[in-house]
Amino acid sequence: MAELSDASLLVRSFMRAYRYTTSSWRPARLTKPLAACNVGLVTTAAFHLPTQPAFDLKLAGDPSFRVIPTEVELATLKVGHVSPSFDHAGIERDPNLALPISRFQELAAEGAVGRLNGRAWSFCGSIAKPGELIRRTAPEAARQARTDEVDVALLTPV
Amino acid sequence: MCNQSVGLIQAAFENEGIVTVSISLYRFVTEKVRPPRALCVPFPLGYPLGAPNDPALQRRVILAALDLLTTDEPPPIIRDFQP
Repeated sequence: MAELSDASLLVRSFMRAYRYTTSSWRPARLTKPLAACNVGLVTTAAFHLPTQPAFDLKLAGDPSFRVIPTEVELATLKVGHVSPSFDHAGIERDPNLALPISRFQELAAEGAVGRLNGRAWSFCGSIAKPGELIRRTAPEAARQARTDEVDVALLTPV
Repeated sequence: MCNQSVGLIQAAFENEGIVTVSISLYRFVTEKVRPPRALCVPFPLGYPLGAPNDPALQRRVILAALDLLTTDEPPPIIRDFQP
């Protein structure tokens, strides 16, 4: 577990004073075995393709997302995060650390899950003012996943 | 902020009928955001599935997270990963 005491004084002060938003949801129910499920991946690691625009790193955050085809060559992914709060070296060396495309291709080949969805969703997680994320962009990505008939989703922060 | 953002995006996916689970690097944030299902992992920020180029560890974390999708326990669920 990351420890708040490891963060810089500025970050610690911000995180202690910040008023976190409680999420609002209705529980979904799994109606089939995982071995038959289409899996969607979502990360806030700010990965993007070289051909996609970078994230806007303004202070309040960029609530937009990039669609990542899961057949992408992982080594070509760019990391758009510039947050000094975490070590970027791991996800730059191995994007599977936050966007485990290879792992789910293996799990699908073994039959542990049905398949990996053809697209994944990448956000830049440094969003201090999440209103636009809640109202517009997260529901938009979720509707895309629903259109793709995604059954289950794994989400990773950095 | 990543842990809050993940929980809020997770809620949107859950509301579309998709059963969701997230990784948490900061339990205290996840306890406030209260997403449907979260697996707290003992790794530093930037390392949600453990270590780069360590497929075995990444796989163990993923399988532990997937376990939360099939449990009978009603959400919200916050569980600690046991390495």
